[in-house]
Amino acid sequence: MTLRNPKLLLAIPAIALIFVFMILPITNMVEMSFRTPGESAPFGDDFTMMHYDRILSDGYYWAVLGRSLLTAGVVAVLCLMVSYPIAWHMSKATGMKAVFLYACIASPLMTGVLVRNFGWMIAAALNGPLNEVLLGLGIIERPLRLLFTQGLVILALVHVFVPFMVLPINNALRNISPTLVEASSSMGASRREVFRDIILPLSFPGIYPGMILVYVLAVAAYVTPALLGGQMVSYMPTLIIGELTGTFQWPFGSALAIVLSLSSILVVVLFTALTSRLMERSKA
Amino acid sequence: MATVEVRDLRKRYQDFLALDGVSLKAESGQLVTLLGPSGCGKSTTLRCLAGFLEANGGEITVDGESILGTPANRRGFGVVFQNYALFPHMTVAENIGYGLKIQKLPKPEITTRVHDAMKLVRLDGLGDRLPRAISGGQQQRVALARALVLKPKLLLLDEPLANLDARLRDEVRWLIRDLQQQSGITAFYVTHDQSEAMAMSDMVAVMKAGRVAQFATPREIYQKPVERYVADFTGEANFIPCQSVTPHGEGRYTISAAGVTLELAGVPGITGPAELLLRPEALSLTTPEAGTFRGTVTKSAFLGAALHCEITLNDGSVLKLAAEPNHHVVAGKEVGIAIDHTHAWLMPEVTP
Amino acid sequence: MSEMSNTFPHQKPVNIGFGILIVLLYVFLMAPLVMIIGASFTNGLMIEFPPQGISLRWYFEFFDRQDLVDGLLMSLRIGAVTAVVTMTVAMMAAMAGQVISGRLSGWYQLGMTLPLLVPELLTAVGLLFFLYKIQMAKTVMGLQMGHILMSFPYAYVSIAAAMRQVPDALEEASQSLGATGWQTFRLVILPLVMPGLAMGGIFAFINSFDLYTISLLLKPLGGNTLPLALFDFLTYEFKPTAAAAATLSILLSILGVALVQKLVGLQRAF
Repeated sequence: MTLRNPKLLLAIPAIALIFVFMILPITNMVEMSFRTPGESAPFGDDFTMMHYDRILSDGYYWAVLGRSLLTAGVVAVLCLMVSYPIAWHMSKATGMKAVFLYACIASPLMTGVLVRNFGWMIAAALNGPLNEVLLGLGIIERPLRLLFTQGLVILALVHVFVPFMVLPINNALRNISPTLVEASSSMGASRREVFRDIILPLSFPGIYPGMILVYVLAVAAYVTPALLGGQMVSYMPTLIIGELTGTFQWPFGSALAIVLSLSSILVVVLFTALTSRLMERSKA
Repeated sequence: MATVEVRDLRKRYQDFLALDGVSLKAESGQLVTLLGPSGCGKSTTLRCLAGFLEANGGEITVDGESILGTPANRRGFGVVFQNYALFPHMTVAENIGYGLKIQKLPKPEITTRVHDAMKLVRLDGLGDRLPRAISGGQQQRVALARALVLKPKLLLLDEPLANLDARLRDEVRWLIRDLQQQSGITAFYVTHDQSEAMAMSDMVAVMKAGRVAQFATPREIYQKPVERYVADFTGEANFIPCQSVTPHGEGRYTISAAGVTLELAGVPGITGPAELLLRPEALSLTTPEAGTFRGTVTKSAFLGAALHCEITLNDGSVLKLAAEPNHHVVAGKEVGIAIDHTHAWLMPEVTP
Repeated sequence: MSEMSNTFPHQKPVNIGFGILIVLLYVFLMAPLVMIIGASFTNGLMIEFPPQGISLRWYFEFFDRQDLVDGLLMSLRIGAVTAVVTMTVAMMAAMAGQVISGRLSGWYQLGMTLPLLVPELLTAVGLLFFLYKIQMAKTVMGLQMGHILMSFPYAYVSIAAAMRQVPDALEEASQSLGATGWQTFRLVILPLVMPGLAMGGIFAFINSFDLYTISLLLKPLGGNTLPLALFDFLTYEFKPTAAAAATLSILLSILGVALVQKLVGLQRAF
């Protein structure tokens, strides 16, 4: 094979980096999930299906998996609901106002997940601002224990992923030509109808990647449930890390990770199939 | 269908006066063109008509009733955009039927009317295609059908041919004119192309810096422009400054220009300095003795259908004209220029 | 068209309900950061918002805590190396990407951003086993490689975007004027993509600084990055020192945002 352009050689370090430190290791993990448990080492020498049998036959793992997938789904939907108005508002802004709004999105994005979750710990304290707001609005009568609840985990995850949803939707909205809105209204459509018939479907090329990215990342999020979820509720990622660093069951941890990945891929495939017609039509 | 009147329309952006008192009138069934260079306010006027912009002053009436308080989606006007503005996620048929769907008409009626509209613009069989899968000319016809299917009171067209190549432009231009005349819809048409304006319009408004410089028939705009700006914008033109102007009677003058005395028609009521407009087709080459003017050929170029010449007169003015292609003309030769008096026109000199 | 357009000039341009919603959403976005910064200046003994009095005592406390300061130094060191390596590798990859066209180009882009798209947890678990296999488990080098991998896509995306802005004709022009490939790169390409390159470095650095999961699984013996140290601190002590540490981290990200705005403009960056 002849190389058409010697510049292609410049890609070698990057390809090597991703292949050696990502593709190989993940392939390795698949292999690991079929290993027998080790006696004195983290894994044994023989191959077995026992870990998958164990996961699939134990209702506990089904429950945790279900909780993880469902939580991620709820997070993705809430994220969309929070992000769409922000993205809409942002897409209308120009000049310094736009810079300011981008900074408001970028600052949390560039602050670590751990730090942001820590902020919610402060907010969720028994006499913290969140309780005070709820008391002030008359929603609750006495302070609630918010820390170490599923609700707080979901809230914090939504916060973590909002920028991932806002940015693609904002870009999609900016790509919609304003004359389409004018055309639609000249044909008699009201503001609501313009939004339903034109804006919403045409922003789908932003909604789709946002939903997928948030879902996939939320399913496998570790820090947030570990910090804010407490010991009471388990999610797949906390379980996996526990197997790997606590009990050193590498093969079983790998099998859990693979079950989690495959099921989240399945959800993504389903979502893609359900929305393919819309995506096909609305893409630029 | 509808008489539309625009009176003293004003539109101001922060520090920029986009419309400075625009007045126009379209009689029922007329096609009125707004002609001018970019930034003259022609699109702004159209967008005020459509309801996309809110005017700061003035009035727009349709059949005598003000529409300024009516939002764009209740005006019932059809708009055709320069970039077509087809909904990319809807098929051709869905695009055309969109307005009918908004009106919540029964499905069978929508289907029939969409079908008829597609036939009208010769798009049969393309109903299921997405806009990106058809050509530019076809897209423009979808845009046209989409506006016409709603039977609008008024059709607004914003440079609808600008994105088409020359060959298609001709075809779509005639289609637009035919459909407009057949349906008898009053229409406003924005363009910066003078030949388009000439060919299609009942009336032309030549716009200049947020005002209407002249509002008249294409013939008048071309042959009897009120000022140099209009003459320049509507075609090739020669201007000769006049030394003296003596009015006698309504719009008749005796003038002297480039050493010659002439009697001709002009803009009524000229009192100050004036200039003579001579379109190239008003001029023909002759012998030095027979011509009204006398001059020297300074340039000539053979263009196939015609021979383009530039002739410098004794007073230094330059006349451009198109001579018969087989005429023998060489630079430096002394020639005479004959004038067709019916095509000569006197205009006041206006400082731009 | 430069003319401002408002398709519905007859309706109220700003719906009050929508305005309130937007304000609330931005409050939601900024709230955690504001609480941390507020809590870090407390004069009291508890992490709380609003803070009790104003003082810098917890910042002094932070710099007295050897474990946290060590974590900070380790994070800064790893972040710096990550930035330099990813900038170099991503620059090369972006140049190669320029000459790939058509369908392949899409796959190439996808491949280069893979570490961003695959959940960190999977990559971290895979790397844990892999480093064990090649006897690099629990070493700083192993952790460093993990950070380089995870931060690479950020650098790549920024640099590739900057490269796309450079017209091919410039390179040809430079060569026609007698420049060698290296001279063209150094005198023409590099100055033009410099803002994008710097931005890539900033993103890579900050991403590395914030990584948690991969650091937890790959952490070297006896070494902690700042997020790891902070997590432990939050679990066992929960004092305002943590807020001071987190505030430093927030300051770093705000500095990053400001630099990106100055270099290429936030709107183009995101």
